[in-house]
Amino acid sequence: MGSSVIADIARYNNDVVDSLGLRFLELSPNFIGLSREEIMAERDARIEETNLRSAFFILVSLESDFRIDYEYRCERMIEDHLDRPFRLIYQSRRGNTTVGNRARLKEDIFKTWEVHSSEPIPQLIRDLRDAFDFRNWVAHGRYRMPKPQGKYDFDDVYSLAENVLKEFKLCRPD
Amino acid sequence: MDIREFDDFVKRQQEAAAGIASVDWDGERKEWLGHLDKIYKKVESLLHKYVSAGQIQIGYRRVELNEENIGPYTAKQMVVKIGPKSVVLEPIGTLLVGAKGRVDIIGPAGKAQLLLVDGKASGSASLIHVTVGVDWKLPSAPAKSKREIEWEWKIVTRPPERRFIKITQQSLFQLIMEVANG
Repeated sequence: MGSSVIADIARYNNDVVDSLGLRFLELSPNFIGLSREEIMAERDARIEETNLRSAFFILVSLESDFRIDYEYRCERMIEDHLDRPFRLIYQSRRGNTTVGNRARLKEDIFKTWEVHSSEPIPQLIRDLRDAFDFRNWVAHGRYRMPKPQGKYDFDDVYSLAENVLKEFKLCRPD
Repeated sequence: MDIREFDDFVKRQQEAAAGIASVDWDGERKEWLGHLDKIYKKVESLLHKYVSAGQIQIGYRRVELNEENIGPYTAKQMVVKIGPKSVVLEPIGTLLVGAKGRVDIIGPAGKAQLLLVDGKASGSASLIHVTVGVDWKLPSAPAKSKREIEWEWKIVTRPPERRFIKITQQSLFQLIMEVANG
């Protein structure tokens, strides 16, 4: 499911990037008075913005995969190396009005995967933490805070998501 | 992909390169610099009253421009000083879509554009003509205008309208006040 979602996002991204390429090849009243370099710079900025948005949606989809997996494991009582720590979080969150009844992505879900799994999972979790700092920046801080360090273009985020979906056996209801 | 498609692509690029080589780029540069001098003279004449009263100072700096096919060259940049505020008329170049030249007017509060365009054009949209073909037929190429274009410097309003406004004392003064936060 997750891999088909990210493949769809990638196909959509490719379509929009290809369309932008064509859009900036054709004459438009908006381009009057601009040099070729300025038009190309505008096109590149649009493509970068498109890539950024698509990278954001890849991460949104990954977050949803992790949350569905966590809830599925807790509700169906799946028994494996994650069942005890996840269930402890699940019980402590239930009815907790102070921190809310949802598990926190980084502190609860990612942390559990990191501590209770062998490589390459912990390394991928570290990469995911950084990528989610980027995701949070896009969602909440891009117009008032500097971009977080690290390379987060669409290709990087896509390949991280692909590796995550391959290495993590994320559960989801049929 | 069909090899013939690639052959056609290479052929088209060679034809385009031959077309580029046949242009008198040195002549294009000289013509553009001539038009640049004309707009500076026009601005000087519209501000003459203030300059001669010592209320406005006008100066020039040399700037390096570099355009595809023309290469690097030097042009003049005009600096209009009104008290503590400076407004710069920055030449951008001549190889532009739909225009023969552009000067950006940059002040502490913003930026505006002067474009050297067909004197008969009322806005950027009037410079683009779209023809469509029906029943999968290609549209016919637009007829070449027999009219000689008379290039004229005009103020361009902000997007999305991008209308062309004649440069008069009133329109120039308003523009300077906008970019200088007057």
